[in-house]
Amino acid sequence: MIQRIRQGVVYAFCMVVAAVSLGAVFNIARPGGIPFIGDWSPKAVTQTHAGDLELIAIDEAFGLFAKENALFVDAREPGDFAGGHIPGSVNIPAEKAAEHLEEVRAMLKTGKTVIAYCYDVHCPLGADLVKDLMSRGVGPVKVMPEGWLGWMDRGYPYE
Amino acid sequence: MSEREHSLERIIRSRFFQTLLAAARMALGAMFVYAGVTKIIDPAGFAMSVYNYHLLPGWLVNITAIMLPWVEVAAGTSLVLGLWTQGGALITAGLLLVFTLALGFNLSRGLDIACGCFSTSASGEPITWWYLLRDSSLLGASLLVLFYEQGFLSLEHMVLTLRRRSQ
Repeated sequence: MIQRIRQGVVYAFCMVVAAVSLGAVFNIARPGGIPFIGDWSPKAVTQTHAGDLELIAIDEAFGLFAKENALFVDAREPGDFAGGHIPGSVNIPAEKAAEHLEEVRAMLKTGKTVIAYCYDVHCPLGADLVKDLMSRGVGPVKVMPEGWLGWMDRGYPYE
Repeated sequence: MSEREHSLERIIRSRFFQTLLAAARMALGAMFVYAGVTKIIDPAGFAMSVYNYHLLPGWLVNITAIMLPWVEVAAGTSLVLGLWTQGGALITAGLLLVFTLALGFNLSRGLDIACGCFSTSASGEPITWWYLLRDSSLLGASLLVLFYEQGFLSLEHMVLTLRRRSQ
């Protein structure tokens, strides 16, 4: 048994070295390769999620909220929404955009800024929701990347 | 050798058990080759998946996404062919152990690995439990192959037999 594992370790080591080298060479040579060290900072992640979508910083969003000039859309799952959300926000899970078009249109008609959010900067659902809405001709809805966690961290009100 | 060890040894060496192990080895290998190739095709997408586990520091995410699929393909090929089988089985066992732990850890802290979101409903997703069950069964299969496989229907065994015959 020990002999088998020992042999396995030697084989495995050689295979991993070969595979890793091949992977590196292939990544350099291929079209569509990715950088070896990627940028996964909050800013870069937001860029990946939201692309060209219009963003709104959390403090600016709060400013509008305080003046009752903002309406929020919570793109998380209903269970998370039920656990707490920005006051007055409407829950539209990202994959259910199509079922809520009229609701969003009504929000836009008020003339207030409509803002979508998810859990935190790592969560793509807010951006996904806005992309889906826009592809159906409903907008503009802004994305607040800092999300629910950012809102809580700043001690802003919630319900 | 005691009577009991002797009969266990006989079961392990039986043609039936060795055929089962050979089938498990090839199926496991095919799965790893397939999984690896789909990730190699879309490195950016796989990097996003690695990132969504929120376990690795940012600088390790892309390197992992670039290298890991090739290790999977190498281990999978080794198992399908039955070449350096113990090495392939050791790698798949190690990877599956890491995958299972990562999945279980994220399940316990409520991280939905599909989108990388913390969610109270993540643990309610049956798919995550299915992955956990799948990975731990495959881990079991890898260990059986590592410990008990005797080279039935393997390239290594065929080459050895041919060489012996020609001598």
